[in-house]
Amino acid sequence: MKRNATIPYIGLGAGLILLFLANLMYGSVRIPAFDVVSILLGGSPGHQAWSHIVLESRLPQAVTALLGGAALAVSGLMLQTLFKNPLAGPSILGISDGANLGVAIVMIYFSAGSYLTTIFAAFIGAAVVLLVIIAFSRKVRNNVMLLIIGIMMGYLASSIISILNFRATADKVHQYVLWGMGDFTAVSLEKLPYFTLFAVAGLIAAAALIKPLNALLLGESYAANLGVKVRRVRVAILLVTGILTATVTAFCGPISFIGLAVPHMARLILGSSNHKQLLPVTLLAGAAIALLCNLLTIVPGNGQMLPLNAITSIIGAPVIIYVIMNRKNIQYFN
Amino acid sequence: MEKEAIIVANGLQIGYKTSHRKTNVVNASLDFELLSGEVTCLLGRNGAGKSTLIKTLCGIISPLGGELRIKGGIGMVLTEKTNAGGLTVYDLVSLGRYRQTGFFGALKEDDHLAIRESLEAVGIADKSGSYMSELSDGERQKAMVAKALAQETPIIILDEPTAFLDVTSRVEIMLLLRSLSHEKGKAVLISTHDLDNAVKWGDRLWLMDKKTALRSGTPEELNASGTLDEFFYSPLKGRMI
Repeated sequence: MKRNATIPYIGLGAGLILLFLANLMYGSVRIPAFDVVSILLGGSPGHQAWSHIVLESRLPQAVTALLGGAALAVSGLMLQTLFKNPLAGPSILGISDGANLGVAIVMIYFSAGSYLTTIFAAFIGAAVVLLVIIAFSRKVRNNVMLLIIGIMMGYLASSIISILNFRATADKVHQYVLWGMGDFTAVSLEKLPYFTLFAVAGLIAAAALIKPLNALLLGESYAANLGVKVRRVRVAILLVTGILTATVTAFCGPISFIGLAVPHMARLILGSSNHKQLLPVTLLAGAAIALLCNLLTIVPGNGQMLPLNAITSIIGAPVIIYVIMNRKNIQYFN
Repeated sequence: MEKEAIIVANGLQIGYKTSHRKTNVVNASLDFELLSGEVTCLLGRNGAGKSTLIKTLCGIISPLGGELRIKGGIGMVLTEKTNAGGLTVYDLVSLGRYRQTGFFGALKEDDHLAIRESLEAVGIADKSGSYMSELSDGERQKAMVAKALAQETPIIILDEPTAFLDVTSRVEIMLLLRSLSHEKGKAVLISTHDLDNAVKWGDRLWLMDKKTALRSGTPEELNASGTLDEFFYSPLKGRMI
């Protein structure tokens, strides 16, 4: 029978606040919770440097993780519903790879330039893949086939990146590899308003698609019969997904598994596929998981950081394996 | 209740566009009328074009030619697999209110009333809080019929609604559809391979094959004229199929 949706909201909301606070407290220097709250409220902390660390470094990083996680998770959810495929996700469809390619071209062939150049390149790369997929979506009605086209686009982009790397100098390759590990610290206070603008706009657009997303659970024929303009909605979903993924990839590098695994976690927590509850829960869970992953990248004691993608994979891969192994007992598959 | 021709086809050509210029014509000329307040059962061999006709009537594919007039909307029940296991029965039936609700799909009192009435009409009101995955095949099919009812359309079209059901559920679904058409005046069109139940519970049969025009009549008329025997006689096996 239907579970109460209030408990997941309260649990995730509380978890999100605690994780956000923990992200502001922990790092190379541990700052007590009391001082963090005091800094956020405009007060003066025990050490003058703490204020700078929290406001200039950790706060933008935590906000980036929160919005980035939410954006990737919501993208994954929309793609899984659209493609009726539990393994669909922004990285699977080649959108992330397109953004990677754009960044690789700029990093390897042009002197890295301003961050705006990198962001622009990522947008162009993601947009090219997206346009190709949208063009195919007008010809190919079958969503599984479209998913395979997306995977092929990803392979193509990866191949071109390999060729570019082969011809590049060692330090450029090193620079690109570091970017490819994913990093929420890449968004400074100066860049944060741009990141926030794109991410929030994408998330609002996603919320506007809740009604047709529910109808698409019945398949495209039923959806069309109910009154959904299927082709238009398909393009809208791909476009919103593209904006959200390109934004995160451009600012933070390609981040794996959050888009793929979090929608499953949200369904398991909620027990329902109704997007009216599932989309907000996915958004909250994505934000919470990204904050958790960011926290776990901190190596205790020495202030060094592990690659973000190593942590997201350690958390995400077991979830996907669990879901696949237990799919007969999970109601949204049956 | 006076019966009205709610779908009228004259020389309707159905089939698929295989490429920009080429088409695969499944049936070149169909003439029929679907009447309100009746259950019409569409019978025919595999490949006769039943599903193509159903898809054409439901607007999933476009007619290739001829005339097709449809008065009002169509509620549809298909055999295709859905991903609705994680929706409650109430959520599923509420999707039937898609056209009536606003941008965010918020349900108003009218919508809740229509959903409750639809659930009661098909007899699964007690399951409204259950997930679709928790239902039996027969109950799932009833929920899909309730969704079609909640659409409040004058026509309900069902593609092989009893295909995967046990004998009891088959009879239950047919009786349900019969009472909906007779009591609420809906035009119900069912594509089926279940000849026994079609003859027993259908008000009218449509016999469809590729060679001849669509033959229509009450089960009694078609039986008395020998059309049913002729249509279902297999020359290969020398017996009724």
